[in-house]
Amino acid sequence: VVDLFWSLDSSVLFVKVRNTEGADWLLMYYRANYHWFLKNTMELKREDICLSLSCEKHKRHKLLIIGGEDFQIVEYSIHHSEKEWKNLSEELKDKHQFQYFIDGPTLHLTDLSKCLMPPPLSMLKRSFDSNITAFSKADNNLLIITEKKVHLLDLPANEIIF
Amino acid sequence: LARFDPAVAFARYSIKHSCAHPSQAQYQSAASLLVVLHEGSLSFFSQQDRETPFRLTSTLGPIEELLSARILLLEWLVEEECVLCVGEDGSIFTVGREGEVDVKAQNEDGIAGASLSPTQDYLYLLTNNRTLIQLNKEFDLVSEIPLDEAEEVLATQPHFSWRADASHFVINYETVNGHKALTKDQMMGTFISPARSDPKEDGLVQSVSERGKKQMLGLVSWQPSGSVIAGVDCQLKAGQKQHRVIFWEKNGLRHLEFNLPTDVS
Repeated sequence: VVDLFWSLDSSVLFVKVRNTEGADWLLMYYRANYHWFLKNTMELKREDICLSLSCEKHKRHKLLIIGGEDFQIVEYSIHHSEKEWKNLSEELKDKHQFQYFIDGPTLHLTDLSKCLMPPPLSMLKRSFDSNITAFSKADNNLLIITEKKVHLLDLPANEIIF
Repeated sequence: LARFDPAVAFARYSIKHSCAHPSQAQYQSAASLLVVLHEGSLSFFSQQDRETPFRLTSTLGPIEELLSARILLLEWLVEEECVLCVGEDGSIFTVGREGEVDVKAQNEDGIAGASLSPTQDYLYLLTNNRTLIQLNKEFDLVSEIPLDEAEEVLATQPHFSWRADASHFVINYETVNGHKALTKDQMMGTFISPARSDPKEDGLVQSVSERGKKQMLGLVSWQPSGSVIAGVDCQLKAGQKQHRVIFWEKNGLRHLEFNLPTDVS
């Protein structure tokens, strides 16, 4: 590790390192949510000197790399994309999340957007004439295959009524 | 609630100039001035404002005093409008914009490290006989203390880093038992926290460690707007060296760390 310095606004930590092959690299670390992320790497020449510069316009930051023949000015900016965060129940509120399980001849159905009921509990249940071997749901149709019959049920829109 | 997804955008451009083998550089934001030391010469680059490119305004030298010893500190003094240079041989001098050299002081023991406070009020020197010296603007002695009375300090270059408000600085130096990083106030008093240290460490927390740490390396950098100090250590894991960046407060309280890539030497 050759050098360690911060950006002037303290948001970025620069670490200048030399790898096992003798090449110098500048690593740029950014902290978010109590975790440090490596955001960028730049290869440097051995004699390069790095300085953080202040820059107020448009929240752009500048890093000055002074080499033997040129100055390199690296401009960088940090964008925060803000998303509306929803917890699981809020995410599920807008759409039906049907979960089912089969207990012999009985089909148990739960709409997780309305209630969180783990097996063996369920919101709805219906028993058939013999053991259920397969179940499928598409749109408003339920397909239930038992050992003796095939049942195709139409449901009212967005409702489960047996 | 908002979920932050930081992204970093880059642009890179270069300005041609010629400063062969630069050894020191300092950017003085108050004067929008960049000073580069290269092969005994000083080049001055200025900006009209922070948005305009750097332009070479003058080059001085080679200057004999800059060639005679390795320069440990290069700082543009805003009020005096000259460059302060501190050499490894103990020389302390300024270079004016016309190249005039003014020797301010000479330390016979030689200097291992130097730092100027951000307010440019005090100059701190660690001499080769392990004494920490504080000089004022007139380069008169203000204070002088032995750096470490508990452990023998090695004559390697220490690293200084300042808190942005210039009230405290951290000095990382090497002892026979490893590196130590001490937080000191402007008058060189060691910061002592009322917090208690780890029972194994005994006593009050003074800084990152009361004893030298073999794993710790010599770099240190105080976060400009925060209270966190960054340093580097090296752990042995499964027979391989793992370098880490570690963080601590001025009272030595550790905060987080992260591993550097494994191919860092």
